[in-house]
Amino acid sequence: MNEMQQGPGAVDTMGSAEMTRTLLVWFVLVGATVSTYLIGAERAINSDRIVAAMVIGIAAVKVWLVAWQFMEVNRAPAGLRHAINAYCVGLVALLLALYLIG
Amino acid sequence: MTVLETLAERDRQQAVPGEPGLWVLILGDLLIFGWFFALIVMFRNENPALFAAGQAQLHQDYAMFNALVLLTSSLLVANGMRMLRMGNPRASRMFAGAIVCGAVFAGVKAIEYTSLVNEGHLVAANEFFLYYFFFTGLHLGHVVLGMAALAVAAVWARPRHARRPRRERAIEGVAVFWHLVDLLWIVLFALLYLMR
Repeated sequence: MNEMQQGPGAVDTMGSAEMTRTLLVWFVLVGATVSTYLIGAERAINSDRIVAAMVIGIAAVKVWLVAWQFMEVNRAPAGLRHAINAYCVGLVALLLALYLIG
Repeated sequence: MTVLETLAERDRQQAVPGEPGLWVLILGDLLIFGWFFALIVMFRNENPALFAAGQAQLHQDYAMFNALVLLTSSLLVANGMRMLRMGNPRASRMFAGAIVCGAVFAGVKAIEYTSLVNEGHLVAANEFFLYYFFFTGLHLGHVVLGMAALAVAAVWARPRHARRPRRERAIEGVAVFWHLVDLLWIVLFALLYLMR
């Protein structure tokens, strides 16, 4: 009977909308996973550098999506949101710089 | 809506998921793994031939399957958390489903490790396999720890347990940790299995 204690149905509707959005994000993540597999493992692209850049870039976007929608960083205070954004941007910049320059 | 209600609503909408202290551990883990990810890229640059030869022995299809399994477990945990907040009695089943996904991940990893060892690719075989077993083994440790935490969450989320805010926060913390497990695999999969 906890639904009753939580008050008006608006809360439930918000929760349901978030669940639908999470499902959509899951579809995007599955699509991205299969895409990176095709790029990296199935040798769909010849250039090693382009493959590495795409695989690292897509991984960073996936990390951000998991943090944002699954970890619910989207509703966290600004400090945590900025920390996660900085981590994702920093990760892709560091790994690409090491790969391309090193 | 009174001022107090407005503040409470804002507080509810802008809250750190789980205990704030847990995020110190989560962000610390992310930074340590960030360093590990950099080490993998540097190792690949210094030994491109060894890296390519080692990677060719890995089972990329298993790793992709496992990535999809962890993504699905994350979906179950994220929506299980929302169901719990909505008072839905099936929330506990979502966490149980995620534990099954974790077990599938560990099982596939065990098959992969066994086949590599049988082919003679041991930890000591070369530096690539040292990196591979160390990083994936450390991640597997996270999976096992996460499964144990999810088991507690699944019990606490059962409808016969009274809803307590502190427990709900603890379950939120377990959920955040499980998503971290998923997130780390996303990058390990990209770097160890796919990056050339």
